[in-house]
Amino acid sequence: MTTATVVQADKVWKSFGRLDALQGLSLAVPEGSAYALIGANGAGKTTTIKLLMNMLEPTRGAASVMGVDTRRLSPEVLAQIGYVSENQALPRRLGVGDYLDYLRPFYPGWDRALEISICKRLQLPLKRRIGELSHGMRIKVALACALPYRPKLLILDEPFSGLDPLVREEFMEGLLLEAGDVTMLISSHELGEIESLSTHVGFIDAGRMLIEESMSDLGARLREVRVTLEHPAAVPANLPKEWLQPRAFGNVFSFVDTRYSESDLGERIRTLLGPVRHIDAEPMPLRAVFTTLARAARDGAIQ
Amino acid sequence: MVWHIFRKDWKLLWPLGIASLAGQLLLAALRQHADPFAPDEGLQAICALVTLGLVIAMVLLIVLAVQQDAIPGVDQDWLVRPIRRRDLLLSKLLLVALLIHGPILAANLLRGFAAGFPFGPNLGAALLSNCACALVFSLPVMAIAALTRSLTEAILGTLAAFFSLLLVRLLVLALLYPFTHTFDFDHVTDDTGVAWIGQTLSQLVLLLITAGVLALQYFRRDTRRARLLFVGGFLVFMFTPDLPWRPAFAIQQWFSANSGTARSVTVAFDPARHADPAHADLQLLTEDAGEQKHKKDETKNKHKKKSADSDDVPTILLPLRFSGLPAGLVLHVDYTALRLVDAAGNTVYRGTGHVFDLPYPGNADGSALPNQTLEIPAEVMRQAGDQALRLELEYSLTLLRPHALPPLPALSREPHQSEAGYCASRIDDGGAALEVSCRAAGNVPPCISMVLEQAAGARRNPEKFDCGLDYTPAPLQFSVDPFEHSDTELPLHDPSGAVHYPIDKTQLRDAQILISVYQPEAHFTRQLIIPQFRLRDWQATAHSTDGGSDAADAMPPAGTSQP
Repeated sequence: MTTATVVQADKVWKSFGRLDALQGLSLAVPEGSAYALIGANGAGKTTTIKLLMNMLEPTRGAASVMGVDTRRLSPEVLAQIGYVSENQALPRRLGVGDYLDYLRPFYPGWDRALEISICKRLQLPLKRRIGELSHGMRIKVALACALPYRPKLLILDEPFSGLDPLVREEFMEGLLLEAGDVTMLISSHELGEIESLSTHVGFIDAGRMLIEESMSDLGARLREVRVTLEHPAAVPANLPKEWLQPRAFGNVFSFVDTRYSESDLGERIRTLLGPVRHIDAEPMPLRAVFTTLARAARDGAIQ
Repeated sequence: MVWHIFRKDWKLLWPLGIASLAGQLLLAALRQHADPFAPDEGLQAICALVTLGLVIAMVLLIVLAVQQDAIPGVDQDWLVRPIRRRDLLLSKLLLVALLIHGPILAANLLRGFAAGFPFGPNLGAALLSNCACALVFSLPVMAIAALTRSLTEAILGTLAAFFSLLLVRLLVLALLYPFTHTFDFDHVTDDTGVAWIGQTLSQLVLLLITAGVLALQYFRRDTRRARLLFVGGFLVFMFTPDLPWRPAFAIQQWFSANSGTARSVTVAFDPARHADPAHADLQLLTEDAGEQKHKKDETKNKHKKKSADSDDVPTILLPLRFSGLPAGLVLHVDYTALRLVDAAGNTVYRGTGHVFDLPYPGNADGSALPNQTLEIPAEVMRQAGDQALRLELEYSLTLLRPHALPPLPALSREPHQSEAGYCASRIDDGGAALEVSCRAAGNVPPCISMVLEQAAGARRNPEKFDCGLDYTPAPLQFSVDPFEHSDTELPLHDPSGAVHYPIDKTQLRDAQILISVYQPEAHFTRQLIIPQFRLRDWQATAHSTDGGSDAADAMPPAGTSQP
């Protein structure tokens, strides 16, 4: 059985003048997944998200959200999408409560009780103007405006920027659960926060998708390997390209194996490095995956 | 959802809406309070200040309303909301209609009612003026607001665009200078009856620009293209009134109500008759230089007057014979194109002649004998004055049919209604003239003549012809101000003392004002070619041209205009 794709991008290019922000980026977010879009600053994450929300148009290629071309997102489709971004420009002169009042009629599925619950939990000052709020409070307002209609797709672009740790935790644990059965596309540098939530990950570099797979597959094939040799270690000249970040120190040789297989790892290491005293292969946290991939991309080790 | 979005904006902008309404009502009250015969400079200054404040408030209101949901940019929250673009645009238009045009309409209606205009014409004039206001003000400001993200950006962008376009205009003028010999911003059709064609075309261009910009922004969010359209469109808008005379008048000819009327009219050179300088140009009008003219008439011969101001502009007086003039109609010369060609076929000079009017002469063959004044540059006269040249004149002509209105009492401070509007009169401060002031809901007739007549004896003072010809078809006659007024002065004695006027200020109680309005009947052209013409032979002396070229306004008694 194949899972339906809620968000799809197919070889999308986006140019700003001479700058190609996206260079043939492809992406697929399965229904029901929590897709973590990661990449270094300027990799193209925000551009990708804005393009998916039809805030930008692709220069070439096409993307679709809920089966609809992003350039033709209708109000009916938008009514099923929740969007929160650190750059989101909310109407500054409106009060928080006034803005919620304004948005309510646009969403047929708006749950007033959920709205009240979210506002209470986030301690939103309903009477105050949005422009008078701090950045963090404005993100909270954006969250409160994105969840009460129980969107089928939640697109979050750096949603934790400026949020205190308590709210972050509450958001991840509580608010999202309250939002119901939702597919999520989340771009964040707070990898620790999204790791437990993410089911899929996409790594973008220089406007291209370098790695895209489920977290379980990625966790299974990416291992931080630490080898204790019988002799002093050195980085071999014919290092396999799937071994990233090789380091030698004393008798220890370490690397990140991007094609980890427990059955043949020992044999491969012995063939390349000689007699081995001990091999230790540990799963990697998302933060370590990100830094490894980012470095490798920067150094041209992966393309 | 249009109303829902409108209410959101209203919550934020209602103070400006109230200020707009208060300002409009205040302005209407001030204008209503003004005495048409004695303009109060203080009141006019206050009106100007209130108007300025109102314009600023209205610009602010429109820009803020549109930019509540700004179009350019990629961060606005409304972009990710299920808001129909059409609803958003309609809500902004609704807000502009209610908060800008509502107060204008209300103020104009109140002003019209206070002035005594009936409901129908008053409402019609107020609605038409609102349309004009939307076309030249609200919609362009909306378009600018839709192209920008903030008030500052809107103001700076507009200033930058304005000065860039001005620069382009100056560059074009500079490039064309070798051909035009003028650095003038005026257009060839300015202050003529056909000026409306260029103006209407430019208004149409303006409408297309604003509609295009709003459509591109609200339905495509294509700010780059919309800005290009705006600047490019304004370039076209700027140059549209530069429509050359021939195509403009060709368009005007389509609007002839009865072109067959002109079939019999011919024009010929009449060399047997030596030109009489005293009747140069104007057969209908005699000299009355001290009088105020209709404002459009002031510039009627302006390009000629400019050159006439210099001492050494040679003037040619060309005796003409117009024949076949239809009974009772006035022939108006809209434009005279002049071309001098030498024996080798080279154009020596291109220019224009003075314009003039011919009343129906009243004789059997309907012929009139005017003199055409042509001003020739001194350099051309020096080089070619003694050569045998081919002279080509192309006349653009209009036959005007007078329509008499019911007479008005000569002295009446209380307005009397006629087709010319509500008209009141008084003797001016010096006792030299009767001032007649007419106000109308909508347009006053562009061409009007008045004459003072003794109610009993049918003796008349010279007729005053006050004509700022405007051939705009009725459906297109709208301006920002729904109320127009015209002022005419009927002299009570001859300033030169040469002629005795039968009605002076002591006889006004028994006199009445006869008013005629003139409507164009036919627009047509006639060409006059003189194969052998020596400029020097027809040159007038400086003294002889003094009387003719600046004559204006007062129509001589019937039958006295023939030389």
